[in-house]
This record gives sequence, C-alpha cells and structure tokens, in this order.
Amino acid sequence: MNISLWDIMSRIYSGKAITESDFDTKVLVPAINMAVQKYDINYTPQVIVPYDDDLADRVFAAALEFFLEVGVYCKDTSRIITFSKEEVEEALQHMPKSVTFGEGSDRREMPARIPEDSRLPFLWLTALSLPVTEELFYPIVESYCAEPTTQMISCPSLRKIRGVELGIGNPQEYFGATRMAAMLNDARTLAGRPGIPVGNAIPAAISAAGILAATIPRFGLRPSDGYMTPVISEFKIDCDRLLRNVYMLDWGANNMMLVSPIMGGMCGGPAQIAVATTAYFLMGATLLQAKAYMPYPIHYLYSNSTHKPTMWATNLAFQAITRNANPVIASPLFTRNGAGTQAIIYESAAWALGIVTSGSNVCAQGFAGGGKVNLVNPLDVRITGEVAKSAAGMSRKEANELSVKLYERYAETLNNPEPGETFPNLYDVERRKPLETTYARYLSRINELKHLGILD
Amino acid sequence: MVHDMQKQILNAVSAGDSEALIKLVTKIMESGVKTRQIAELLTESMNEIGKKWALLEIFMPEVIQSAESVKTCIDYMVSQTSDSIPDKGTIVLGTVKGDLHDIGKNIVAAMWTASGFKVLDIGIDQPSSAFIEAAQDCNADIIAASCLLTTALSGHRDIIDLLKTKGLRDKYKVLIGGGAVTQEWCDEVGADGYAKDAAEAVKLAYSVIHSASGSE
Repeated sequence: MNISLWDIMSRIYSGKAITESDFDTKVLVPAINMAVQKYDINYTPQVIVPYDDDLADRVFAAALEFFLEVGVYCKDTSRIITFSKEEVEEALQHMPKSVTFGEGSDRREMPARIPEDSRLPFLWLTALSLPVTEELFYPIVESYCAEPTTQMISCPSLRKIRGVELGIGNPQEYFGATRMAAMLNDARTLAGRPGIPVGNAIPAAISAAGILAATIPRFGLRPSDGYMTPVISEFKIDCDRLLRNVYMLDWGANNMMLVSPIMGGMCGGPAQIAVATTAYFLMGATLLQAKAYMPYPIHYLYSNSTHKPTMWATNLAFQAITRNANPVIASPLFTRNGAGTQAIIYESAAWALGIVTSGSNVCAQGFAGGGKVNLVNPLDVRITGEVAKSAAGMSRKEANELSVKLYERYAETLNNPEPGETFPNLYDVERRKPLETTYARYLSRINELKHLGILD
Repeated sequence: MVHDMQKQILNAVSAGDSEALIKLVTKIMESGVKTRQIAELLTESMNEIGKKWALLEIFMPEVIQSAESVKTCIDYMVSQTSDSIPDKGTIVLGTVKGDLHDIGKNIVAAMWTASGFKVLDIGIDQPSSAFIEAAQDCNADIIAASCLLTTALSGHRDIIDLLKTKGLRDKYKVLIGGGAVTQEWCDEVGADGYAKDAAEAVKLAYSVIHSASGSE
C-alpha cells in the first residue's frame, strides 16, 4: 500500500485539536445525521434482513462521506486523525480477501464473503470472553475444542489465577496475560487440537504491555491466532491501542478490529448505526490496516445484538461494505438469554441467518446478561453453527422471513431474559461431555429448527 | 393549568434549549408557582425523555442535551430563590483504575440525571482516592464505580478498602456495575448494590437512598 503506516501514526500529533465533548457533539453527531438525511436512509421496523441493494449502496456512500468528514479522535492527544478519499479507496482495495488462522490440520481460511454467498462461513464457535472460574477453565475450553464444527475458539475470562487477582498496567497483568496464554495453549493441546486458533488472544492482556507479554513465544501463542484491537465507541482510539496494533502488524499477526457501535448511543438509531458500522470498516482499513473485522452493534441498555433494529442495522451495514469492498468479517453475537435456554436458540438463529446472508462469518456467542459466571453451553453454539451453514447460499429475502418468524418467538424475552444454566449443570465436567438431558434438549431443538424450515 | 405547564416544560426540555427553558421557568416563577413544584415538573419531563430513549424514539445526544438544559435551569432557579428545591440525591460516578471504557458509564449518568439525581462524572481510569475525594467535595450520597474488564475489578475493592481505612464506609453507599461485575463479586467486596444495566441502576439508586433515609 502507498499509505505509510508511520505517516498515519504521525497524524495523532498533527491532526486538528479539539475537546472530546466537542468532537462528540459538534463533529460526530451533526455529520452522522446529515449523512443519513442526505442519502435518505430510513429504518424499516418490519424487516430484519434488508434485501435492497440500492439502499445498501446508499449506506456505503453515506459512510464514506461521513468518515471523510469525521475521521477518528485520539483521546490521548485530543486530535482528529483524518484521511483523504484517495487514501480510503486505496486501503479498501488492499483489504485481504481471506485470513489464515491456525496451524497444521486446524489451519483454516476465513473468507471475505458477499451477500447471499454460497460459500460456507468460517465458524468461530466459542464462549466469547465469558467469565469462568479457574477450576472450570480447562473443562470449558476443552469442551469447545471438542465441538466438531468449530474452527476457532476464544479464551474465557478469569479474575484470579492461582490466587493472584489479575490487574491492568501492573505486574499482575503480566502474570495474568502470560499464565492465561499458557493455560489456553495447554487446553487446546490436551483437547487434541493443538493447532486450533484462539481468536481473542488474550482477555487478561488489556494493555499493549500485556499483549507483548502474552505473546512471548514460550507461552504458546502464535501469529496465526487472532488478536483484537478494540476501538473506543464512537470513532475514538488511544495511543495504547495503536501501539498494540502496530506491534501486531510488525509481528505479522492476525490483527482484527473489534468495535461495538451503540444502538441508541451517541450515533443514534438504526439508520445512523448502519452508516456508522459501515464507516468503521473504513477506519479499520486505514488507521489499523486490519486483516479482519469484528463489528457488533449492541443495544445501549442491554449490550446484546439481537433486538430487531440492531439486527437490521448490522445486516444492512455488512451488505453495504461487502457490496463495495471485500472485508473479512467475523461478527460476534451477544444474546440476552443465557446458556441452555430455548430462547437463546431463537436469538442465535435469527441473528445467524441475517449476518451470514449479509456477508459475514460467524463468531458466536457471548451472553450479555451478566450477573453470573460459568454460563456456557457448547451445544448452543453447535446449533448456531448448523444454522449458519444452512444460511450459506440462502437469499436475504428468505433469511428475513425466517428471522422475523424466530424474532416473534423470543421478542418478549428481551425484556425479561432467562439467565440460563451453568456449565456443571449442563455437562459432565470430568469427561467434557454433555449430560444426557442436555443432549436430548439439543436434539429436540434441532428438530424444531427443521420443522421451522431453517435446517434440512 | 398544571397540565399546560407540564406540557410546556416537557416541550422545552425535549428541545434541550436551556435559554428557552429558563425564559419559560422565569415566567412560571413570576406567576407565583413554587420552585419546588417546577423542579418536580422538570424531573417528570426528564422521566418522559428516559421513556422515549428506552423505546429508541430519541438517542443519547438528545438525552444529554435535555439533561444539560434541566441542570442549567435548576442552577438558575437556585440562584433566584431562597425556596428549597427537592434533591433526589448526589452520585459520584466513574470507571475504575485501569479501565478506559466510558460508554456504559455515560449511559448510566444520563439515566440518573434524567431521573433527577445530581451526577458528578469523574471519568475513566480513576483511582479509588479520586472517587472518595469527589464524594467528599460534593457531599455525595452514592459512590458508583463502573468496570467492564474482569482484570480491573479490584478497583471496586480498593474503593471500599480506602473508605474503611478513612472511617468513611458508612457515609456513602457504594454501587457497582459494568460488564465484568456479578452479584457474587458485589457480595465478595461488600458493595451496597449491583445493577446489571442502566435501567436497573436507576431503581437501585432510588432504593439505596430511600433505605438510607428511611423514606418510602
């Protein structure tokens, strides 16, 4: 690429100086509202998976105009990093068409997909950074590794290791980052899949110093694992995150941009979130030179992905960007209902049908309910994976009809979700196998999805 | 008359126009309406704004603008009268040391403000001493600490430990929340309450302040 990474990094000191509050209220908010108005982008409440190509292309045009106007705010230097149209276009042209994760027999390509793509999505089926207790770390990670269709796992979160309370920016962060990396590496080896990649290396490594520690070779992480550079919503970054990102680039690792546009937050509602989510790809391509993208719009109060306006905006944004560029997308799912519940299946299926037919791969799933630890069920994500596979090649119109049907089944639960069950209530912890009752429930849910015409 | 007044105030608060709101409130004060009653109408208007937000009919920028206009208006009323204005309580809010996430905190701040609490937001990445100093400065009722990262959770314990060390533990209610927080953690560190989302945070703040004051 002609854009020099170091030229871009210099802009954190040379861009226009402005207070954060003025950036929010005088730059971001007017620009997003103007873009939505100019390109006539309107939310359609009865739709979950839009299938209007002209609308998708207008969202892309709006996002490009918005991003050129707004840029990215650096919190440490109080400056705006901006890009020219030529730079954005060049960065989009250089997006990798696929990203390789893992080693040996678990080496897999995550593809840049397009709307209604007949290729199977990459299946990152896992417990997304969910909090677990130390004694269940190995059983949980090994159980996800044992899932036959999963192509990438995540490392769950721990608060303590060997009695040491983990921290940030202190020696405890070093301890947590390195030991968690070692534990993760052990767990995938013990499960018989030493080459399976971990996509969120690694939750205890919060600062750049933490990630530098976690990736010391003797702790077992590899460049072919996945490393997230989290962006600050909305359209903000800081020097520590940029430091982490340039380290990933220099190391040749799989750096992925993680961002959660907030539905109802500073950008606004569904139309604005569709534009903002699309614009985040432009930020990732230019500022971070990301290999893959993990955008997940979430509800401002509940932090989940599965309200109807959120799914509409997410799906529309993915169509907008994949019709006009070729990003590798792995959108994470956060549900309202917890592990082992009936409603989590409906939520996950409605979500998967939308994102897969809109051009994304699958990263499922996290539980946005909070409040408890060990709320995980590998069989839930197996079902999400089956739905995602059946959505490959499906039309967006059909996906929309099915998603709307599923939404009707869980809409009521969004205000009063079920927290679900903990891993020891669902699995034989020692054997890393689902209990008979858990497996029977899995089979009955698969049958229900077949009956609904979602699975063959 | 009260209904008309409520409607006019709601319209002005919805527009988020501080100047227009102050003009309207001045007129209402001149007509002899007590500042206490006007303050209640302002709070009710913010409650309506919160309801519209929950339905995604309006969004955070509008809520912030409305909350700021109400705050400016109440400051003005305080400067113009010797009447007492009802005070729902004062909350010092921040994100604990090591955690740079601010969206959840900002949303809770807006919800609390919309519900009539005075909120002093001390920002992200704050050491325990900053929470306590701010609480002493503004005579707060509640110290609220947000945390999204599991690895930053010890910040909650630090706040409670420092309050105990300074002999101030009984002076403030400590509420905690954020993606990494669980009820178990709340119990372990001895916080006074945990809210899993912003809507619950509003109910929790009411509940702890009312239980402390012994009122319904």
